[in-house]
Amino acid sequence: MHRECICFCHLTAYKDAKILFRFRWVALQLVELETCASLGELESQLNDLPGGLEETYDRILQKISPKHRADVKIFLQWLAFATRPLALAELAETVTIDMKSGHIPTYSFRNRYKDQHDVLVRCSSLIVQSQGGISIL
Amino acid sequence: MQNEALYFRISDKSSHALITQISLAYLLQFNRLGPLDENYLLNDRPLADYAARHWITHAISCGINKDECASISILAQKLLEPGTAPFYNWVRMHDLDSFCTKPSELARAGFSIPGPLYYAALTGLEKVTQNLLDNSADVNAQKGHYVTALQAASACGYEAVVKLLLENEADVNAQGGYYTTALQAASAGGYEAIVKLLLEKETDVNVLGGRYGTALQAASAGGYEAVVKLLLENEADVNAQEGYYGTALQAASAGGHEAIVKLLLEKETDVNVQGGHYGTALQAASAGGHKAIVEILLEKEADVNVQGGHYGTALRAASVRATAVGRDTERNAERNAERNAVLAGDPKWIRLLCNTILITDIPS
Repeated sequence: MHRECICFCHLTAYKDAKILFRFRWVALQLVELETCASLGELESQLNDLPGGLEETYDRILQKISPKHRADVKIFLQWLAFATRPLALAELAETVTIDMKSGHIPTYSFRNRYKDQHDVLVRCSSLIVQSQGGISIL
Repeated sequence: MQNEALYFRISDKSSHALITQISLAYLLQFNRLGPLDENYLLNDRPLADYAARHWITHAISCGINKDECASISILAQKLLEPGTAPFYNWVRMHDLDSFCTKPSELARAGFSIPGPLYYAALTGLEKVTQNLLDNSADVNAQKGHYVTALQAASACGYEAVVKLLLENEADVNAQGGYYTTALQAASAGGYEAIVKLLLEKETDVNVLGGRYGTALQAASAGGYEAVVKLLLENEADVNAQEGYYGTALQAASAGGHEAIVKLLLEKETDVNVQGGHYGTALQAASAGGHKAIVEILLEKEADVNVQGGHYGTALRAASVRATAVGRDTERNAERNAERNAVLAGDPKWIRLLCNTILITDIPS
């Protein structure tokens, strides 16, 4: 269901930014609703829908565990500024570099995710995987 | 915005800097001189391809040529260190210099790879160029598509790098490579400031060779009037014969650069010189459908009966051109009619288009 919304978002992107935001909001809500396990959860989630896009993003960002924040930020920066769409395998590799301040950044095998799909899990509903690669929702 | 969300604020500069740092650090891990394995790169080092191709774009976006990116300059200098494995491996993965050869050649021998200074010049990395020169890199090394760092920087229009190289005694008259001289390279791109710099160093204006034969022909082909004037002021020979178009007049005629044709004719250019792709200037102008230039050339008594060149005669060139244009006009008329019909029913058409996109875009 939300795939259609995303396609529609891309379509409308060129026509009207306001409509685009509206669809983005819908798409984000649908992703959130999908995570509800029970009817009760679904009902309370529906009763507590955030008002605007900004608030929606705020909520999703707040839910990201402090432990994972640094990685998620790196993923988002790459997705926002890479010159071409990235594959999941490529995106997962971006956190293999040790960026401790005061040292020259170096590749560290230890930082690699054992399961690439953890990238998607950690970014919660902020990013989506499609045939063309990963993109920010 | 909540504090937690504030953490995720990003800017374009800092993001490009981060991507550059990660890309460079990623490339620096390939520190063995032996040939690279394609499967290993593809499966075990999936970011290598992106890093090799795009780090320079990100480096320039974050301002590596200004003073503000010291940490990135250090990393870039580490990658572009002469004779080191990461440098060779970067070029093996993605050679920015490859116009004729394959862009990635994972087992390429180190001796066939131009030095880091050449790549710094080719990509306009000023700080890195400066650093390499300070560390006594050979400014006149000859290797690569453009053969010298000076020709590479001239061809790509990096004025600051050209200045640095000239200050460090780069030979302005070195010959070889695609454009033969730095002057021809700069002329082909229409980089007036660089042409001036090279002329100030008393480079030879009339060297023959390379893609365009002479610097004057290169500037004429591109339609760079200011550069043509500069070269003529410095006694460029209008009747030199060499290169793709044979003469500067033919080059200007082929491109339809009327002002340059006039400039060249003022300097007593011979209109009937034969040679080059189109045989004569008249054939070149005819093939391009440049009526005004054809008229100017005929006024100067260009011979219409000369045989030779790509089309055989000027008349045949003109008729081939006319047929092609006729065909295009017909096709364009058809297309315009179609488009107008579609635009007349605007809303319906948009919906139809949306539906088509929606259906084809959703994976089943």
